[in-house]
Amino acid sequence: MPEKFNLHIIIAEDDNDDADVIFETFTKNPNFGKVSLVPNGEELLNYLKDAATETPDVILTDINMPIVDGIEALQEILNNTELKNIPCFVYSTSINPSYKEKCDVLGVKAYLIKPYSFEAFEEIPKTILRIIEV
Amino acid sequence: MKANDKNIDALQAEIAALKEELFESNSIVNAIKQGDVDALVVHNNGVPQLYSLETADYTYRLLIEKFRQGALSISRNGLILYCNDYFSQLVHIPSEMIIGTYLSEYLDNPAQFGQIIEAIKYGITTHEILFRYDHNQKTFPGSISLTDLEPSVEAIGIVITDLTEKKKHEEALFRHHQELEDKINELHRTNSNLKEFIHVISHDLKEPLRKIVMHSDRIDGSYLSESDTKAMNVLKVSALRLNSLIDDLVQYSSHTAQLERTEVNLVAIIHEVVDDLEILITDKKAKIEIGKLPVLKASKVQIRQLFANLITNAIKYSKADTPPLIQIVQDDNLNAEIPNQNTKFVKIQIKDNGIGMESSHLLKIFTIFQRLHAKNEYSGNGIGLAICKKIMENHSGNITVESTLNEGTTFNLYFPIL
Amino acid sequence: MEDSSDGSGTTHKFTLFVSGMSVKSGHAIENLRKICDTYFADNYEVEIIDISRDKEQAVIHQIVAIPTLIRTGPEPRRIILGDLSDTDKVLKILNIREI
Repeated sequence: MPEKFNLHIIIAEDDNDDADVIFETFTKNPNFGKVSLVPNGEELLNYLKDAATETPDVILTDINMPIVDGIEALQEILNNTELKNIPCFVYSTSINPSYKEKCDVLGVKAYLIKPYSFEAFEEIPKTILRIIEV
Repeated sequence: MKANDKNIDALQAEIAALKEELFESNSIVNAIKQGDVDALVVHNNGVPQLYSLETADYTYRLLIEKFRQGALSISRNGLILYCNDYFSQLVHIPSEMIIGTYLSEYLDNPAQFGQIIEAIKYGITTHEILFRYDHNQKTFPGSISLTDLEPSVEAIGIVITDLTEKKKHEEALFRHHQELEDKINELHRTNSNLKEFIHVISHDLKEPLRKIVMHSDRIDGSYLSESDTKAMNVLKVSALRLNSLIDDLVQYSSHTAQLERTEVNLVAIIHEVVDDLEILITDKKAKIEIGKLPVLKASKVQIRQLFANLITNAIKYSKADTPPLIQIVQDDNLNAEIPNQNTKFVKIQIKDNGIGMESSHLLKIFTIFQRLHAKNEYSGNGIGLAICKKIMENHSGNITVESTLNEGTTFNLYFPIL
Repeated sequence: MEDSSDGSGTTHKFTLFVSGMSVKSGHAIENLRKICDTYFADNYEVEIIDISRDKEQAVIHQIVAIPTLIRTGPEPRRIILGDLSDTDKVLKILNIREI
């Protein structure tokens, strides 16, 4: 029981404004005890591979990021024996059919759309929880 | 005495018969003498031979001399025994200088002569071959047809057809085909590029828009003055409008002609659309009548979009006091309508009893973003019909409109029968 | 000899022997057609045999020269050589009175 309600989520987001919003949203949600934030795919991979840092329970990443984007990062994560069991989620401003297909093939749990209101943002952690519980 | 009489009768009959025979024979001989005949039948060991007099075969000779094909008579080893006028023209050499030369001298590849003669044995008597002339400077493509005249005559008859024109046409056709393929590939590339471009742009445009909407929503209106609240509202509505415009543009650009075509049952598709629009239809108490419609080879996705837009429009622009009635039927009576068209078309009409349009508006409605009414009255960006037009163009068809103000509008869809 | 006018009931049967594209053969065919249409309208049968293709027929019918027209019915049998361009002569030989 404790695991389900005290999750550590790592979020990769390059946009400062969106980072603020998403960080606030997850922190407000009681089921998430720790929220880590990285600005791009490269930092995400570094964090995950760093022995000193705690392995997160959930990964949420934006797609369009500089240096290493979301898709590239996910490719490495989901082909890594140690990391591939961490549930991964992707969110983006719009659905690009070819990205969605790639995500499905890689085994991403869900492809979410960035909402237009703060209320709708709060649905994101709820959706993630729902999917993990299954 | 009676016996004598009988004899006399018999003899007289014989004489009469002989007279007739003589008459017949004489007339035959006279006919020959007078030149009424042009051929004689002479028996050679019981086998009849036809001896033609000079004029008899005139027609044949004239044909060969005059027809627009080269004609030759050659011996087995290729020596030209006779050539007609046309062959002489083809090779630009007078006939006298051709007779007595060898056919192989007029072939671009002389070795082919032997092959052609060999082929007769196997029943192959026609070949396409390159002829050479003018001291080997020029060539022309021709079809050569051989007829072995043995055993009657020890010669081979040859007919040569000039294929220069035909070859020119073939080459032109091939070139055009290539050009067409190249253009199609270019088009594909441009289309893909465009699609990608639009997608990227729309994504980048929507990002800041989303933030505008989100954050302007967050501003606590209770502390604002009336004019400030109004301003905030304008900001928000504008951002939303911009967002929807971008969505429409992406949609418009995404309807390329390349989509897969399958057998589309129009009645079924329209029912699906009606289901999707259930809420709007129930809300406005609209009634949609679907007549007998054909099955077309088309893009399912685009056709669905087409009818969704048209039906939504019809419902949207209905009269306030009259529930919308929309009839979708096929019009069989097509013949006089479209001039200068070789293809046959299927005509489908979407008729409504809505507010109609002024004739001055009819041309404009298919223009992208062209709106005929004040923004507040009717929602939408004005792209729906532009999308319909694009979809019809993708299918090599057309869309037109007829309307009477305050009575209703009819949209006509023309799909070519492929 | 009886007069055979084109009264109903008597079909006039002809066999014309020609040879390929010989000039007079062509004329004979044309003229025979003309005469038949004019004087035996709808009441004639014509068979045309090209002996350059069918030599046997020449032997069977003992053809001497081309063109040859043989009237095989009604009796009596008549033979006319030539291209049949002299209609008068043809009719006289066939014993048809000129109308």
